[in-house]
Amino acid sequence: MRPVLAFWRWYGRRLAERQAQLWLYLVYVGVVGPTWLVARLARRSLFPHARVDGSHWIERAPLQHSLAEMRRMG
Amino acid sequence: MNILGLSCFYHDAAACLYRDGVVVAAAEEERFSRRKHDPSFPAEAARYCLWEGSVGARELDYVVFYEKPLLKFARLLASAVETFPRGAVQFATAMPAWLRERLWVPSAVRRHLGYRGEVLYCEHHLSHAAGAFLLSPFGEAAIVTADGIGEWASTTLGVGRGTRVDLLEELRFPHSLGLLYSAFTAWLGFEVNEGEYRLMGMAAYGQPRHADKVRKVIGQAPDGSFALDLRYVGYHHSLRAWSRAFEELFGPPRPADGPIEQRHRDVAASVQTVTEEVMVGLAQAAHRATGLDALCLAGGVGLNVLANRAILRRTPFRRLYVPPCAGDSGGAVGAAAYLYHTVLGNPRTRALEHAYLGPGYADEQIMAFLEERRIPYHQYPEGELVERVADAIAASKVVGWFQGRMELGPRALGNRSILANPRDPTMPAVLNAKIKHREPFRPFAPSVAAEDAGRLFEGVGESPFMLLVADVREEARGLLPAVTHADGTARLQTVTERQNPRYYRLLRAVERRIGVPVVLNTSFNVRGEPIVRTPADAFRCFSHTGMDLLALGSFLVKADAKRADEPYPGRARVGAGDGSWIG
Repeated sequence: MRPVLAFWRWYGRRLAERQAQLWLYLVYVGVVGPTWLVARLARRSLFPHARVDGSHWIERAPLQHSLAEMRRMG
Repeated sequence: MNILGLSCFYHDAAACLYRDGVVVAAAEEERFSRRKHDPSFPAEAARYCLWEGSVGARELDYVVFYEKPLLKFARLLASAVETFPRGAVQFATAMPAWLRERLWVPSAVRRHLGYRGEVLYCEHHLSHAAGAFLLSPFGEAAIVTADGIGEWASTTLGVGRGTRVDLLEELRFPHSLGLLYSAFTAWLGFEVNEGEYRLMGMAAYGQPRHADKVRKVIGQAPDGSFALDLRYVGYHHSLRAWSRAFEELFGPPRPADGPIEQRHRDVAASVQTVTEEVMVGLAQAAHRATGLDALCLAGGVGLNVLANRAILRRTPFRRLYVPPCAGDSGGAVGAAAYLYHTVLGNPRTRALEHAYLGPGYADEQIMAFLEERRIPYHQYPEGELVERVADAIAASKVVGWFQGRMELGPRALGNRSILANPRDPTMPAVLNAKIKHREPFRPFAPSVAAEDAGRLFEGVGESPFMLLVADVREEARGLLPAVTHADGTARLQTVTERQNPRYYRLLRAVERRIGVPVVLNTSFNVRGEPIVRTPADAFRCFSHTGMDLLALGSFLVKADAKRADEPYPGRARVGAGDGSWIG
């Protein structure tokens, strides 16, 4: 029985992986794609681009060195 | 106050116990799991840190994670949108790990460690900056961090004053010097996060003939900032780091097992040249912004010793500090230090003087291991042990040297090292053939008694963490052929008696025999294996290599005690994460 069980577990894992991949591709096409289209139509880019003065530096807002700031995951 | 710092989920996961301004213990997870660059949650490393500090998880005051997961996840989503539809495979590859574990840090901490309190988060590059500055000997310093990628930032400039660390400006993904260097590493057929040292070693054998082509890929503005021409790279949307345009510029990639041609060496030299230029530009920008003469450097690019030398030579900075764990493992230390000093306002106590922060084994434990395995050994008092090992090194024997607490960071600094005679020109070939199986172009590094460093090497002061490169003095090159690289440099470790008394005594004993207080020092492992942690790891590595002698604490084990039935330690697969470049 042990080999059968091992095979079944392996098969289940592979199936779950494939299924997750399939769902992710659907999310990619169904959610990411339309968002990309909206961004394009609005001429918005999510990647940084060079400023007019030729510098690529992005100035950072002063950070509050506080526990409240550190509690934020994002 | 006990703070546990954690870094994981990308590469080189690590944990650190920080108590009242002092690093009590810190270690990478790979040393426990035996999986090189292990990115998984550092459960074993964290448990070790708690054990070393005699503290339970529930007694911790804080647990702090080295980056902000949600911010990183947002960047991942933004990349997916921006690169649609090319990023489909990368999206589907990276997302499962995020949904499974990377977004749920508190539950991972609870599950693995039983800690019930809240988890705090420190930005990735702030962790790097804090780890470099707050543990440096400087009261105030400019800070540059540069690595592959954090949340959004890939490079930052900042300043540290007292207990404050402030990042002033940043460059953002996908414009990343670290990722570009890794892209060239992969194009040259080497493993990413592992082969960057190979690229750097290979650079000495080439000419920077393609530097202008590299400058097409990465352009630096006069203010030190840089941007990549995204037509040439692919890491922001693909599992392959370069594009077709890149191949048109540099030619086809080298297969991992293919021959190394002169064009590969020339490209390596070109990439290294441009990397140094960019790092010098960044350091100059940091100097302009702060006006200070001390610089702290962190992030994976801080491990590029040639760039570090260029900064010292070509910028106004007179003092440079790079922590021993400049890469992601140092994030665990930096996040904890940031919380304790910058956020909670506690004064800094002392600089990090050494990297011996991992597990150590008492002679009783080593003897128990040797007895249990019935391994023949001889025990010696320290003086005699050191003399016998020095005899062996002088006779061009290769010695495994396992002493005290394991080092934090990628360098073996004299506690988990393989040692050899630096004066014997055949030693690199012997080490490569019998033990390391590395490419012949990779140099071996010297450890030198700090007081004598200036006599043999020039252009460097203290280098306790082997993160600075020095020119071997013209008159010393004949004396040290085994540790002098093709370009006349050496990646140097200076050793003081205070930092590592037994290793220092060994250097002096070696000096009495060969005339210089120098040994060739390479990490105690075989290719593909993390550096050894336990006596058992060390004996396994010893058994499968051509080492002549093993010094385990106060015990010497001779080559005839080797066991062929020990499992080969280099089999462990290199932990490459999920194959995604972007996090």
